[in-house]
Amino acid sequence: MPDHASRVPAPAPLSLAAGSGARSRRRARRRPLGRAWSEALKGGASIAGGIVLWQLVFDLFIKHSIFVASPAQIVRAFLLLAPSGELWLHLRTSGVEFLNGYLLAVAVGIPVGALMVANARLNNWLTPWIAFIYSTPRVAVAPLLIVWFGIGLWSKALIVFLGAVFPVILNTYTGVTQVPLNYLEVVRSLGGSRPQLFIKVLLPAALPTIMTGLRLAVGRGVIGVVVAEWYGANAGLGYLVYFSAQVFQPAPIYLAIFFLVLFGYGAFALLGFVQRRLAPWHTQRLEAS
Amino acid sequence: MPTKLEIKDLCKGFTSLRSEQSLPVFSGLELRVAENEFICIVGPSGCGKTTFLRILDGLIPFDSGEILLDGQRVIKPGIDKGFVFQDSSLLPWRTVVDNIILGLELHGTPRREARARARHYVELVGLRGFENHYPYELSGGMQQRVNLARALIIEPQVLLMDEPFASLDAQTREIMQLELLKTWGGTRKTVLFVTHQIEEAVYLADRVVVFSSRPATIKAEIPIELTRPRPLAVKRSPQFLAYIDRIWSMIEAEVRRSMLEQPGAEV
Repeated sequence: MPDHASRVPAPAPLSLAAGSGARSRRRARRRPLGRAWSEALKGGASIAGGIVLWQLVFDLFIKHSIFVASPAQIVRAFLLLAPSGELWLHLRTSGVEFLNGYLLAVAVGIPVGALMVANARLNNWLTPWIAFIYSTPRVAVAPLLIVWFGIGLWSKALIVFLGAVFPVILNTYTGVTQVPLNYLEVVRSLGGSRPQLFIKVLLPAALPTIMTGLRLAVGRGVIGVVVAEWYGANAGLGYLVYFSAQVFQPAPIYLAIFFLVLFGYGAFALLGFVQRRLAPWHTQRLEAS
Repeated sequence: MPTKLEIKDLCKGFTSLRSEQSLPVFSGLELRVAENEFICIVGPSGCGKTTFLRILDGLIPFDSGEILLDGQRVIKPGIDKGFVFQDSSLLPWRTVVDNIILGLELHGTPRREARARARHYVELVGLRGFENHYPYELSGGMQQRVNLARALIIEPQVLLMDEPFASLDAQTREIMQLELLKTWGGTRKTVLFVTHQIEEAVYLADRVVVFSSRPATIKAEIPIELTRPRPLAVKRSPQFLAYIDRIWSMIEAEVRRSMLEQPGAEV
């Protein structure tokens, strides 16, 4: 009897609690999906209504303008630019500039942010530089960079890099410094080495914060592409904006803005998805509470 | 029984930032722990119980003296000592089983083999079916079971437990105490268990060690002669209550003294 009894009693009250935990997890997974769909539907309807209203106001009151374009005109600009391949050229040019600068920012930003925590001297050396360069308006130095690096890919990528690298560095730094000390103590107690502390604890624990930095960097990178192309380029969405403004054609400007927003939003959402995938404990804990 | 762990003339001081003076935590502490012995350490809060355990694990250095585990000097943390933390300190991005195998993984055991070995310990602490749950999906009691399994799987020479049940509610704590004794009965590790609950100490221990307030010395060592296995009902026996009275009367004066000396101090 004691043997049998000893196997049964303890898990009973505990597993009850855990069962409800598993149930709430399932619920948390199902409910936001339904909610997300209905929210997306409402959002879509709202946007569609706005576009219709915009077209109506244009047709009734503006009729013709060199400053404002109607949705129909934007679609026409799209149908003009897309088949010739010109739109694709602009998209590809800006896309490549962005990706080069952004990936460089990630590749530099995460190690630098992490090393600044690991090495106090490096931190002291780098902090004033980061503060200075971060405070320097990119709009002001962009012309210089274009003079130095030419009007090709790398001057633009560098401007993107300069915008995107700081959120990555600072968020990595903050993420790593905020790791609870008791996680480190666990690994230390089990005889883990310093590199293991970094790989097994600091980076995974800082991952949600680092991902937030990567998401913030998208917006700054997109701005960088546009600004860089204003100062000297022969293709790209920023170039399209600049050129169209010069010849008083508003529709392509809207088109370019639309794709910039689409791209920025898409990258932001994609990274959010990756973040939830890589760090399910982080978001689900919040959803549960 | 042969000596497993020996602490000789242990001295440790903390330098206070304000006064730049070294406040002694231990000055000349001596303790001998036999093989397979279950020791509980009680004492007024702030007396250095947790510091003592962390020194034994090698997590923090001491000033002078000697700590011998199986005759070998303890200098750094390692898998010869298993530490069970007060707050379970599970890594939230790892599942139950991946938290349990952490120590093996750090020392190069292949994942597959480590997971296979984990099965036994999952069973031992009663977590079957929860292997792939994340810590946030577990109750406090279950988290502490993972904490315990993580320390057991490395097959340490000595188990150091720092108030592991302090944050649990009273009922869960009782169950966990019972389960711990059962688990211990199977493995017979040498255990040092720090607690501020006299009742918990008497229930678990072969010997209760009473610390004085700081600088901590050993005020008394009380062998607990209750037969094992101990059902929870033993807590209502006159013999059990007599132990509690005796230890409380020893500790009461110390608690009052430490309350007056260091208001609000917790180390």
